[in-house]
This record gives sequence, C-alpha cells and structure tokens, in this order.
Amino acid sequence: MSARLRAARYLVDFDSGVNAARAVGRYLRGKDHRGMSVGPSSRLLADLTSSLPTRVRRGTFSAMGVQQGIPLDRARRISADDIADWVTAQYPGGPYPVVMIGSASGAAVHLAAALRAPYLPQTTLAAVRELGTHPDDPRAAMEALAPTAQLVAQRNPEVAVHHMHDPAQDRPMLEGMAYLRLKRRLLGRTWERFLEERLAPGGTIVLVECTRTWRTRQVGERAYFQFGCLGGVSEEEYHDSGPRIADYLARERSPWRRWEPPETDARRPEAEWGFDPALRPDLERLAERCGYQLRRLVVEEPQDLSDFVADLHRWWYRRRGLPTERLLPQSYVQWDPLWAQRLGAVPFWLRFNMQPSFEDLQRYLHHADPYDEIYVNLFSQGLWSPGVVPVHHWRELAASAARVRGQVIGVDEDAYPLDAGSTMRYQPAFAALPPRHPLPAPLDVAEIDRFLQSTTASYRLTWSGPASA
Amino acid sequence: MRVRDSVVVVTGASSGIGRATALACASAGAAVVLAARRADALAEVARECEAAGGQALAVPTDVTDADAVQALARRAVERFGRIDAWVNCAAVTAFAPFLEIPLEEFRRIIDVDVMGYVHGARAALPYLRDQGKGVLINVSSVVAVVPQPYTHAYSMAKAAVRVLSASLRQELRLDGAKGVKVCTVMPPTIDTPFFDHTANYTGRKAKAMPPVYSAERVARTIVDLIRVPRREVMVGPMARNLLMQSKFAPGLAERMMGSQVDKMHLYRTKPAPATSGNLFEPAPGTGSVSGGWHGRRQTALRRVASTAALLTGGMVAARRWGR
Amino acid sequence: MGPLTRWDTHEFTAAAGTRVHAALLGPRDAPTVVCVHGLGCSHRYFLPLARALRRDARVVAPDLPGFGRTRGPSRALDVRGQSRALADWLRATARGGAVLVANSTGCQTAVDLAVHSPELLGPLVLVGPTVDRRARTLPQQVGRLLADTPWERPTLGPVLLRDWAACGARRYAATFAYLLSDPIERKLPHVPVPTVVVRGARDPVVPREWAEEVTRRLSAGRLEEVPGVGHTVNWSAPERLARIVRPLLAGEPA
Repeated sequence: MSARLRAARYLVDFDSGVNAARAVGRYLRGKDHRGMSVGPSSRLLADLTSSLPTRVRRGTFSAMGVQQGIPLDRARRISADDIADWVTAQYPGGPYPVVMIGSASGAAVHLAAALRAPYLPQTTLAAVRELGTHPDDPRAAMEALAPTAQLVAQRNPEVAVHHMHDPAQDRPMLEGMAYLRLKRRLLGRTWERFLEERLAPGGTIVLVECTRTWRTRQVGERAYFQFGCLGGVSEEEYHDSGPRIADYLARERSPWRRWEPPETDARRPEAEWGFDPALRPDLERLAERCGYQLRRLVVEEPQDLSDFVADLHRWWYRRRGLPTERLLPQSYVQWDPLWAQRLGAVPFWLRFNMQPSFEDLQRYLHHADPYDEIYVNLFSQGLWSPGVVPVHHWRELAASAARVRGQVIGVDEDAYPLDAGSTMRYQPAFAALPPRHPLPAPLDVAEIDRFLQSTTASYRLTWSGPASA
Repeated sequence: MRVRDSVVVVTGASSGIGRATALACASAGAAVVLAARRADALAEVARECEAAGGQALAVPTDVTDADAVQALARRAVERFGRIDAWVNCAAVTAFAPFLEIPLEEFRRIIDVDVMGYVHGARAALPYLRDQGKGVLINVSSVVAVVPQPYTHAYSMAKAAVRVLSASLRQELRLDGAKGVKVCTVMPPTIDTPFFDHTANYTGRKAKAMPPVYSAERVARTIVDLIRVPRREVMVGPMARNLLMQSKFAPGLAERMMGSQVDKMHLYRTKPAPATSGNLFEPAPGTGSVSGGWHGRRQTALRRVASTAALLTGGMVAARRWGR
Repeated sequence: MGPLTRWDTHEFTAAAGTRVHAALLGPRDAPTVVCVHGLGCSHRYFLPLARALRRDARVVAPDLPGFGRTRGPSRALDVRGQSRALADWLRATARGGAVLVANSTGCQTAVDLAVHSPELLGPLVLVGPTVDRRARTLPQQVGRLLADTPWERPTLGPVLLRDWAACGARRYAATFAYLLSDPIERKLPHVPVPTVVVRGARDPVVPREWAEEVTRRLSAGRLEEVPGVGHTVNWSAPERLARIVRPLLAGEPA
C-alpha cells in the first residue's frame, strides 16, 4: 500500500500515461476525469486562478513543476514495479474482455473506454526536481541528470529511462524539474499477473504501437537523453535552431539565442508517445500461453489514431441509437471518455494545442461528414511556445466547419495559453452541454473489424487481424 | 536471524578469531564458507566444521585481490544459494617503530586490513541487498578507540574499519535497505597465533598483552550478532573500560596504553630478529584458534578471582549489615 | 525419539536464489515422491505420509522459499514465483518427472508448473486443491479453515504453529493474497499428466463440487474421496493417501 502511495507521489499528475490510467480507471468505476482526476473542478476557482496577473500565472506553472518533481535523493526509490502496481490498482476487479497496453494516446483512451478495457500505459513520467541548470542548456541538463537516469535504469531492469528535455513547450516545468520517462521493456510480474488473472479467458490484448522515433543520445545502459519532443517545433529545428527559435529565446529573455544539444547517436522510440517494441515478445508469449488474442494497432504519429477513433465512435453511436452530430475535440490530457459518451459526442483527440494538431483537425473536418456542433477544448501549458495556435483560429475552424454551432469551450481566451485554471474548467464546460444520454453498451473487438470492413475511408494505421492459431 | 541453516562467509578463517567464528557458526548449524590464503589450513578447518555439524566450503583467497573476493562471494552463492552473513576477519600487523618499518610493509598492512574489508563489503553487499536481508560483520579492535604505539598501520586500519561500518550503516539506511545490517566487533587482546605470525622490527619478541581473552569468546559475540545485529560491540569488560576511559580521560588513557604496550606487549627479556612475518607469505602449518597465551585459562582465572572478590565483598558487607 | 519420528536426512540445494532445504525419507534406490506444502506449512506435515510410504518410495519434501527451513526473499513470492522456485529446485536436483504430491495451496504451486515447465511434471496428486472459485475472499476462506479445525488431528497444531512462526505473519498474509486471486481453474486443462484429486470427505475448504470441477477441468483426472477426514489428508489419513500414491510409483495409469 505504501509503495503504491509512493509511486503516486513520484508520478507526474499531468503526464499522458498517468492520465490515461486514471481516466480509464475512473471511467470503469463510473466516474469522470474531472481536474485530471486529482484536482478540484470548479468554474469559479478556475476563473479566479486565470484572473491573476500574468506573471503570477506563469509562476504557478513553474511552481507546479517544482512541486510535481521529487527531490533527487528520492530518485533511488523510484520503482517500476511499484508504478506497474499503481497502474493496475486504478482498475476495479474485472474480469475484462479486452485489455489495452502500449503507447499513450487520448484516442486510445477513448477507445479503451468504449471497449471497457483497462489501459496499461507503457510509458509513465517520473520527475525529479532540477534547479541547477538553465532550460536552454540541454548539454548541461543531460550531464547533470545522467547519473540519476543511470541509477533509475540500473535499479529497474524492466524499463528504459528516457530523459526528455524540451525547452519549447515544457519550459515552465523544466525550470523546476527534469522529466524521466520510464518505458517498460519487459512485461514484469505485476502486469503479467494482471493479464493472467483479470483478462477473461479467450480475451483480447490490444497493443497500441506508435512507431514515432526521435534522435537520442545514450547516457548509460537503458538510459537515453532526448532533446525536444513532438509539439509545435520540428525535430530539425530543435537540433539546428533558426530565426523562430532565436525569436522565442529572446522573448523568453534567455541568455541563449540558439540551442546546442549534445550529439545524438541513434533514433529511438519517442520518449512520451513512441512504442518500444522490446515489450512485444513478452506479450506474444503470454498471449499464446494463456490463449489470448493479440491484436496490434500500429500508427506512425500518436495523432493518427484520432480520426479513426472519432469515426469509430460515430459508427458505434449510430448502431446504439445515439446522436452522431456532435464533435468534441479535446487536447492533451483533458480527455474525458465518460462525458464524451454521456453527451453523445464524438471525441477527437488533439495531441496538443500546436499547429500539427490544428492541421489534423482541419483535415478531419474537411473529409468527415459535417457535424452540427463542434466544441473544442484546449490545454494550456503556460507560455507562447513556438507553434501554439491562437484561440481565435480554433474558434474560426470550429465555427466554419459546424453546421449549427462551433465553439471553444472551457478556455479563458484572454489567459490562454497561460490559462492556469484550465484543468479545473473543462469538466464543468462539458457538463454544461445538454442533452445527456445513457452510456451506450460496450463496443467489442469484432466490431472494430466490422467497422473497418464497412468504411470507405482510409486511416493511417495498421490493425493486425487475429493471429491464425 | 536464525544461525541455523544460514550461510556465513568468514575471511581469515585459517586461524584465530576467524577460525573460532567458523567453528561456532558451523556448530550452530550454519553452512560456512572459509576464506584465507592457506589451502591446507582451510581444508583442516573445513573438516572441523563438518565434524561440528555444519556444511563447509573452503575457498583459498587473498583478500587484497578484489577479484578473488568477488569470486569468493560467487562461489558461496553457487554452492549454498545465498549469503546471510559475511564476517570480515582477515588481518595482519607489524610491531615496529614508525621510522623503522619498511614502507611497503606499512602499505601491505593497510592493504590487507582496510582494502581487504572494503573488498569483502563490496562483494557481499550486492547479495545482501538483493536478498533484502543479511549481516556484514567487521572485526575491528579496541585499538580503534585507544591506539597503541608500534602498530600504527594496524590501529589506523582498525579505526578505518570502524568508520567504514558506520558509513555503510548510514548509507544502507538511507537507501531503504532496512534488513541489511552492518556491525563492528571490537575485541581486546585475544589469545590467537596473531602475535607469533606478526612482522616485528622492535628487536623484542611480541606477546599477547594481558588481559587476554579467548577467541571463542569473540566468536560467541559474532554468532550473537548474526542472531541480533547491533551497531558496535566491545568484547569483554576490559574493552568497555578502555572505551569509558578514552571518553572521560582521553589523555590519560593514551599515556597509559602507551606505557603498558611498551612494558607488556613486548618482552623486556626476549630479543627477536627483524622479520616481515606473515605479511607477504602466509605462516606455515595448518593454523589454530589459540596462540598458546592461555586465554581460556586466564579468562577462567579472572572469573574465579572476580567471583571470589565479589563473594568476599558481599560477605563482609553482609556481616556489617548484620551487626 | 524413535527412528520413525524423524526424517532420514536433510538436503540443501542452491536453487531459486536461496538455499533450499528438503527433508528425505526412504530407500535411496526407490522411486521419488516430491511433496509440495501449502501456505505457511513446510516439509514437517508430510512426515506421516513419508512414513507410510517408507518402503516403496523416497519421499522428498522441500520447503518453498520463505517457509520452513528455506530462507526467502524479503518480498513474498506470488504463485508464479513459488512455482518457478519449485521448478528451479526440481531441475537443480534432477527430480523432474517424479510423482508430485501437493496439499492445499501447494496444489496451486504444482499446477502452475504446467504454465512454464510442464516437462517437470510427473504423475500428480492434488490433495485438497484450493482455492474454491466461488469463495475467493479472505473472510470465506478464514471461515472455512476454522470450520476445518474439528476435522484435523490435534497433533497438527504444534507442527503448524512452528511453521507459521518460521514464515511470519507478513509473508503469510502477502502470500495468502496472491493465492486468493490465482485462477487455478484456467491452468488445470494444461496439466499434461495423469492426476488424482484427493478430497477429505469432511473438508469444508474444498467442497465436493469444487473438487469435481477441478477433476473435470483436468485432461486426465480422477477424484478420490477419503472418508472421515478434513483438509490435511496427508497428516490425518497418511495410510490411505499412501494407498493412492503407491500405484503411481510403478507408472500405472492414474
């Protein structure tokens, strides 16, 4: 028990993996994902927070970073097994017909909820406090954290440690902490037991694999350093800088005008979203031994799953007699499968509030049958990072694509993207959209096959068929 | 922890305290792994241990060779599956005025008595940590508290060992390895062959300085420590006395120890040629626990004497009271 | 102490990351019977069975890590951990394929071998296999164990108390939790060897319908009931259990 609490302490509350487990766990208990399942949810509190002066709001983002990280001396207590145990503890008893495992993604979270499947995220974020190096000095950050990354890797042979350093979109957080993403390479006894005991006989394991890689540098055995991450800045720009970065650094009053990341030595799975295929053999063995089906859902970019899951929801709602004319784009970890289903809204997951996500939504709306209503919710990361799309663009996109009403909801437009209250505001914003519907009966895996057979749309993903035993 | 069925590794097991410890553990039902330089002496100890009822494995080892000590731990685990207690006991010394002792012999003593323990601790702790439970026992000496003249290297080493234990205890506690204990044993003069084997440049023969205790007594303390680990244990009342003296009258304790060693640790009547003793080559023979200093008899005599004194005192007091 | 109140010899093997103790009784050249103990128990409560079989078999009763005289890791092992330890010990002592007699939760350990090391399984005797699928909660199991006490011999008490002291409350509780959630019924069909399910007719821990379900799920299983005794048949009716084990030694079909 105490180990579980300790794991909860060093896991980061705004991490995608952690939120995936929390959101699906709470969904399976019939609860929503208000305040990222940890904080309060109140429009009043949110508005109060967002009405503070800009510098104070910026400060709250940084303070949150410091508060979320654990002191360096406790890094040796980080235990991948405790994390695995914490994840399984999110889910009620079972047995479940399906279990999903792999890369984190909001679309996958919605899919898991539709399948009533627990979701085991391969990657979770543990953060340590780091006040010693400047966010724009990646080399120093790598060298300073290498011993800690090595220590965690060495103590936890079942994971690889990806030290991720992104001064563009995570800047306020980086001022106070360093990101250590633990990527599970071996199934481990705890998850093996979970699958053996709580996945129903003959059940299905859905493996979500995002093949996105990134340039990285090895700093120890199973320990890597990644500079930058998927967001509004391209991989090349992170490594070669340029005028946009120089502008950004000047705006942030940084003593640097370009980033000088360390030499990289290989492309490896992207720290947050990428799938490390080292995990697959363990699952294949387990599936064969226990008579489970293993189905793989392979995408190149995490966002690639969004249009597929949105259309699948539409198809599923239609079969269950729910309305299908409402779209609810949710960004980063402000996903809430319970409210999406209650509102009869088709969820479209945006990886972030950046240009690439904007373009994806645009493309989707262009191809999809038009929606009557579109309500976009946006996550705030605390600064104008390069690539952030202003709110009015989102509003215009929603308004122009919707047949009846297109809005941005749950966002303080003046404060964005330093909208410190945004996590407290999204749930009341969803809840304020009548009418409500009873939850549809669960989707099953065979229905995914049927949907893919029936649709004429093409999706950028591979859905591997049932293994011919 | 129970000593029965546990696995105990003892360095310096060919003679003296190490040998007595191995025998005591074996007769308590432990499997013992014996390490020392002399293979023939170890074989003899192994036989004695098996006769006492335990399993034994002899691994000839020079503790100054870090790889050999690692191999020792590996052998122990291969043969017996685990390590429950590791007793660092191998030590050498030299009697010599500071400027007389050859520098490489000084280095050798530090090498055996400090680095030997360091190697032992580094070999043992990974296993103890993995198991989550275990005891590392470092045999230090009272000279870590009240140093002696003529044995600088040895006293320095013993003080170092005491500090090593304390640091390891702290580190393991911080690291959350609650089940792994580190203990220091501080015996006074013990009746072992130590003084016959020692290097000597004083021109006078060395002897065991009274009061002399038996090695079995230290071995009992070590077995007790495996059962119930404690931080630091002084063996015998003499050692505890010295500790108190050094706390309350450090200057006096230092002076007294100095002159006592000069008078009683080295013969005033028997000269001795200069020798490097067992520093580089192990002493010949199959070794023994006792060094012939009558530790047992002396302990017994002291006990009889002190009991008699107590009784007499008691009787006198009772009579006075009775009046 | 007479010759029949103790084991012949004790054996220690470096296996499963520890020093595994096993007690042995019976002629060296006789076929081997390996006994797998249940939760909190050890080799000790197999002594009556070993005595009953002393002319026909060499009975070897190992202690699983953390129980009896085998030291365990600081964290309790789950069912897979225990069965891997058992497999490792069977390999290290070259006893794979011997007749396996398991009692109570030891049956879960033995059956779990089928998952990862089926080649090590010999003819299997499951004495009072746990945990009844319909009663996988702590209160139900504790209640059933209490209801079982009148059907056990009083002499079992001191033996168990000693073993419980050796394993400790924390390990007992943690292991119990693992055993409760172990889905043994899913593994039974994979047991590739002839199996006899033995049930004490008075055993409240293993109701008849559960014993029948266990037997049904086995590919080659048969159920034997021993009248008048409770859960620990190896202690209360060793002769009758020996009569069930003996034919397996000769390699006769179960």
